[in-house]
Amino acid sequence: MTPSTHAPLLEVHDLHTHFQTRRGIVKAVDGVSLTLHQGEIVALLGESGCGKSVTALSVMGLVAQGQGTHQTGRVLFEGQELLGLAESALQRLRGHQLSMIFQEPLSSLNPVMTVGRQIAEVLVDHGLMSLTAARDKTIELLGEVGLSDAAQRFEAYPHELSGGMCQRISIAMAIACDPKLLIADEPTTALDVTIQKQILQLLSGLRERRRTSVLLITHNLGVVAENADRVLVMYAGKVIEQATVQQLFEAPAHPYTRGLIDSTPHLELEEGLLASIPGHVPDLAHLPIGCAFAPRCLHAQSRCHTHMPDLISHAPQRQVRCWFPLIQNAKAQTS
Amino acid sequence: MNGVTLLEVHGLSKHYPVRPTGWFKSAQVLKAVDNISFHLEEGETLGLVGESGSGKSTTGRLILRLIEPTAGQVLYRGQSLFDLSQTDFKPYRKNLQMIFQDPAGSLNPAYTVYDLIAEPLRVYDLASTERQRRERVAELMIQVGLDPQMSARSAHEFSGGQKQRIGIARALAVQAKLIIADEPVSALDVSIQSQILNLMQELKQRLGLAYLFIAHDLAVVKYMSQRVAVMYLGRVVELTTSHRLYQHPAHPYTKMLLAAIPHASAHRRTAPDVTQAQGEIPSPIDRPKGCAFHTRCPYAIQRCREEDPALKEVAVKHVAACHLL
Repeated sequence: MTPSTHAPLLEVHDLHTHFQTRRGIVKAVDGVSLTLHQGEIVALLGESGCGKSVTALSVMGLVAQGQGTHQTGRVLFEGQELLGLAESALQRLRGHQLSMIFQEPLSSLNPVMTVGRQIAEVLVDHGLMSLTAARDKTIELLGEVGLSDAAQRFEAYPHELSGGMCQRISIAMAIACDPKLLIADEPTTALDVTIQKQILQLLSGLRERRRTSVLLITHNLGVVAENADRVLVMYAGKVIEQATVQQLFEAPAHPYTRGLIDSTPHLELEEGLLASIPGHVPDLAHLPIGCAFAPRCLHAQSRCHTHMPDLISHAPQRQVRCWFPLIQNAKAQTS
Repeated sequence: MNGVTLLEVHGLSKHYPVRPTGWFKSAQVLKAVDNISFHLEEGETLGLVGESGSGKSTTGRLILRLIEPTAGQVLYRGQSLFDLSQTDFKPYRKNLQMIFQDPAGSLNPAYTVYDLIAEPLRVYDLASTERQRRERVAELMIQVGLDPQMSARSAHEFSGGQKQRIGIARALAVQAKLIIADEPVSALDVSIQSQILNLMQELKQRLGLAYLFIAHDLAVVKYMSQRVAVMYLGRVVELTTSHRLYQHPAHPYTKMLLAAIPHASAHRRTAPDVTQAQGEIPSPIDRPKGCAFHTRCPYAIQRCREEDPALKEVAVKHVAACHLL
């Protein structure tokens, strides 16, 4: 899918979300920019602690604002600034225009309320319809997310359903008001592969039918390859590579991306050792000076240890944050 | 692999009684593991795959007598493990060790790394002096890629991958012959997973270890195993060499699992529609009549709904339980 020429649905500019902790300032999100067009599925790929979930929570305005939290940058949803918006205004948008599904479907549902009631509540709370009308709409939604006997499922409690079914319920709740943007934070990580496939098919079906945009947060390269249009790879709070899915898997430009792809076992792999990235993800409170990946990078040279590279455009929709990117003949042009 | 049988599992079962849910309902039985058999050779890795609820973890725990079996036999080098008293079992238990999915949950956070690795040495009386013990702990730490200078730190200070290395060092401390690895990398990050998998491969080569490798990720299992057993609702439905399983899967369930794995490549596959994942694993309490997989099987015929298929040989060293084969 090619991004439309229309104004993007979501624009994030230089987002910083820092937390003051006893161990020092943790720069969970450190200057992230991204755009998402209508009907697009964009993946945020990275390992634990890279800032992908905090980026999502920041967009949703769900990062607890306290003395220790410091947030700067811009989050524009259809041109409207979300950062710093009053909680009441945010609440009108959340669940209505933008909504989110989480990794643990069981813990994101209310255990003492029937699942049907929980979905209907969203519709009623946003003032879209009466409880009676919401009931019918809910049953229709349960059918849309692929639950059989929708009328009976309405009366079920979350504990009576499997993990896969609970995730379908969360999706039904998230799409109840027909949002323009759906943020899915590791939506299939807790599920079996067969169920994962079904849930991802459901998400891409939503994009086809409703033109919903999806920000798909995942650590799974296969999930990105099979479901996203574009991908942003994050490491230590920063975007280190941005590309279309095809570009990323054909010719990853950042050594970290290359390392991730090479260290993922796949079925075509015959005998021999798997490549791996040495070391581990750095402590966000004590980041190295220079490129955060340099201590683990096989291509690192002295400059990498002293200076942080910028995210540079190499081609349309292709950006890399590396002094020595792996794409050959890359003609760097400053963005 | 030298063709010497290390472990034999015969007709192993674990059934749990389930309290009836109503006054007039009769008691039900949950068959977590139901009459499974396989063997493992010295220095071999047998993969055990299946969705959650297929009984793969229960199988691992039964072999180690962490839970009491309902029926069946487990022979280690010909000796039946279930016939032994706890005291007589202890020397065998030394040879059979386990590493777990959640390294944080399986290590005492208040212990130092030294305490954790020295504990099995103490339990089995494997080092006579304090100095010997210190040397052995340092040696084990180097073997699993940890810096021995970190031995005074407590377990909670380590990352997930490092904790899993500590878990492996504990299993190696007693010179185990067989390690049952229950989802050893599924809680770890992608870049750390391959480090641990490679470490396990390297230790296997060096020390001649055998693994029962339990995982839900077929790509990981393929990378680690010589042979693979696929489990569904407490039974083995297919067992063959790793290579054959991925090249010529016989059971429709295996085909469905393979088709469901997302491929990390630029070229999107379009899997044939018949093997598209559908439905969910039924509850082991209400095991479907006939072949348990018929509720999700695109090829199911009348016979599958009535008659339970037995495992049969479909090729050399390749068994599967399906009426259509």
